[in-house]
Amino acid sequence: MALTPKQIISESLNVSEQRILNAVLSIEKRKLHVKEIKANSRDEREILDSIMKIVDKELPSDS
Amino acid sequence: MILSSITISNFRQFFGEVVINFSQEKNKNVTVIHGANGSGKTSLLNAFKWCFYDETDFDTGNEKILNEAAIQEKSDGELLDIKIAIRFKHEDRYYEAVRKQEYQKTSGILAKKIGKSQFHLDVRTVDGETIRSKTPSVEISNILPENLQPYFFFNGERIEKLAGVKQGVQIREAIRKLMGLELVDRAIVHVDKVKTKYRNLKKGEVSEDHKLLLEQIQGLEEDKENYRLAMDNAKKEVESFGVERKAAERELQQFEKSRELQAEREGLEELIEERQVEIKEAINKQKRLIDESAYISMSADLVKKSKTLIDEKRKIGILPYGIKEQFIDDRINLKSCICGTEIIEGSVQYKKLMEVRENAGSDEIESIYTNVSALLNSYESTSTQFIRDYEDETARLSRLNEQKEGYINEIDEINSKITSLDDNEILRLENIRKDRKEKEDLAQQELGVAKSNFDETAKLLKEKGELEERLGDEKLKQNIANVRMNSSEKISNTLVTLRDFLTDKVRKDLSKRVDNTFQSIIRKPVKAIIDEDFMLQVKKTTAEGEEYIVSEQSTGERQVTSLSFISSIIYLARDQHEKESTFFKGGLFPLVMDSPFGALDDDYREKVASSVSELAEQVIIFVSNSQWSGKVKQACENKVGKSYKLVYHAPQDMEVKESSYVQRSKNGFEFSTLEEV
Repeated sequence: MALTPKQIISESLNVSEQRILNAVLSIEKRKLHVKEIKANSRDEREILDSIMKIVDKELPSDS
Repeated sequence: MILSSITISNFRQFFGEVVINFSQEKNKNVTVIHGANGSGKTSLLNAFKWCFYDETDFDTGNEKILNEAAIQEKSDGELLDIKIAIRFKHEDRYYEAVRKQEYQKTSGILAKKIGKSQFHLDVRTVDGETIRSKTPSVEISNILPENLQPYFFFNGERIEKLAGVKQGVQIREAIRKLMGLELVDRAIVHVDKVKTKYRNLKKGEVSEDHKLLLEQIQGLEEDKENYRLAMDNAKKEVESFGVERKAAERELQQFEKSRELQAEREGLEELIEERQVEIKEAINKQKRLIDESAYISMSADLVKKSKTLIDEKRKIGILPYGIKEQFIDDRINLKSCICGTEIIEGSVQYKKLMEVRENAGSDEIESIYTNVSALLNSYESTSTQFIRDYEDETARLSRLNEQKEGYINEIDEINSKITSLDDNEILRLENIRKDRKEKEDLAQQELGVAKSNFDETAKLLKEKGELEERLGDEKLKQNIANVRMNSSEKISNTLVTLRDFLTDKVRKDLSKRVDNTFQSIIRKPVKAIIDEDFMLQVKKTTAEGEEYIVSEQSTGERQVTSLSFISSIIYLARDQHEKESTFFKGGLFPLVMDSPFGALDDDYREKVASSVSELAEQVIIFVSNSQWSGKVKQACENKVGKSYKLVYHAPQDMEVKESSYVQRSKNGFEFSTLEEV
């Protein structure tokens, strides 16, 4: 049987990573109105910072 | 997007203000506007394009879009404008898009533009608040991607070109955007960048060799990002040079001297595109043949040797032996030969039989012999078939390349003829066309190189990444930056898998939908598919079950093909919208069609008319008064929620036969008005 997107995610990633992926998609969705996100632009810096915050939260130093 | 109304002022045939309210009823979702030729149907279609994208597909571009009566009415030096306002609803928000272009009358029916056109977009949210968009063009393009506009606002007389093979890349990108897959693309780029940041944090913790490897990986990641940017730039260049080239070609069609040559050149370019698709198909078929059967052909010598060996063994009676072990055992047990001689243990007959038994064949050996012989025979016939098929494709390829070369040579001749025409304006346009075409081709090559470099770098990166993973010691595995980097990598890889999966799903769904609509209209035993490059293809199956591309379709058939394609995009977008998926955005979209029955015969006209309301959530059609009659009218009349009649007001000096569609102008100006029916 063909896989679904949910199955692809759950078979490839652990729970923390799945939460990071969903958060990444939400971050990107919020910035979708920006036609083009240029490298090193303010928009890109904001996105990268937000993703790193989520990763640091989901995978803390004592994990 | 569901359209509520359009207000047009001084645009083309429309003098003063004209308002059209569109039907938004679910069961009567068609708005029809019918009128005589030249009364402004194509102008209505272009009113949408101009308002949303500052574009029209008139042969004269945006140059002559100001209504002449509006100019005549003004005194020299006075200001006037074109204004188009479109109201629509999209995802629970109400919008008003307005484009305005100011002019100043110079003399007679001449006016000059004052600056560029002004565009604004007001958005009313569910809370009733109205906000003016700071980036109106971007917002419109997000609602309805500009690349897809020819599919939502289309001209039936030109529709057959929509299925053109060159459109593949643009269609794929636009459809992916419409479905919201751009989101996954962006996520991949950004998670990759986050991964690099963690890798840099990890550098302080590793050995010198390991550090060197990390630096190599970082370098490759930078290369990959540069190739990605190069690909994006090349794509944009291909698109923009293409638009400029087409504009120059459209203008060349305006000059009597170059019109025929330009049309001929356009026809030849289409033929080249068609041959290009067939060449690609032939190359793919050869690749498929090599994958499936080349190994047999490569081992032909081995097969031949094995066959000779088995044949020799058979000739000398070793394989398969005529008498079987079981047969001799049975005779010994019965103590009787088939000739009636008694067989007693130790007798001469018994010893002879035991000798024969030594060389007799077992069932197992016989079965193996039969299978091997059959396999070797089948290998031989597969190998012969493979060579025949491969040679057929090679001959087809050479024929296609020859045809393509011929067309290129013909184009070269046309180019020289156009260049030698004694007209500076034609020469100027031809030089622009040539320049843009060269740049377009160059950008296309750059795109190919960048893509190949990108793929190669991604492959290298994967190898280095695996090597790096093997280098990691136990202490490093505990390192948090390393953990975060590895997780980012896993997420990025999952996103790539998702992107490929979703893109393929969109394509397959689209292909299925195209064929459903296509089959419900077309009379021939053919099917429509969207191939892996998102190109629309019509295929036929031979009696042997082999599929081939139908490159010669009539204009009417092409129109049906394109119509099926458009409808499938709109329906797929609606399906995805209703599913509320995380990955697919989709949406509701209208279909605005000028002359949808253009080149169709009576039978196709009736079939298209009866399914027109099902083509999209909201359908707006502009038809000629002659087409809006008889079976066409009957077939879709019960789905029409709003109907308007275009009335052409002819100038005093023009000879006309007055009717409900054509009247003599009372003020002497030439213009059109609308009446709700």
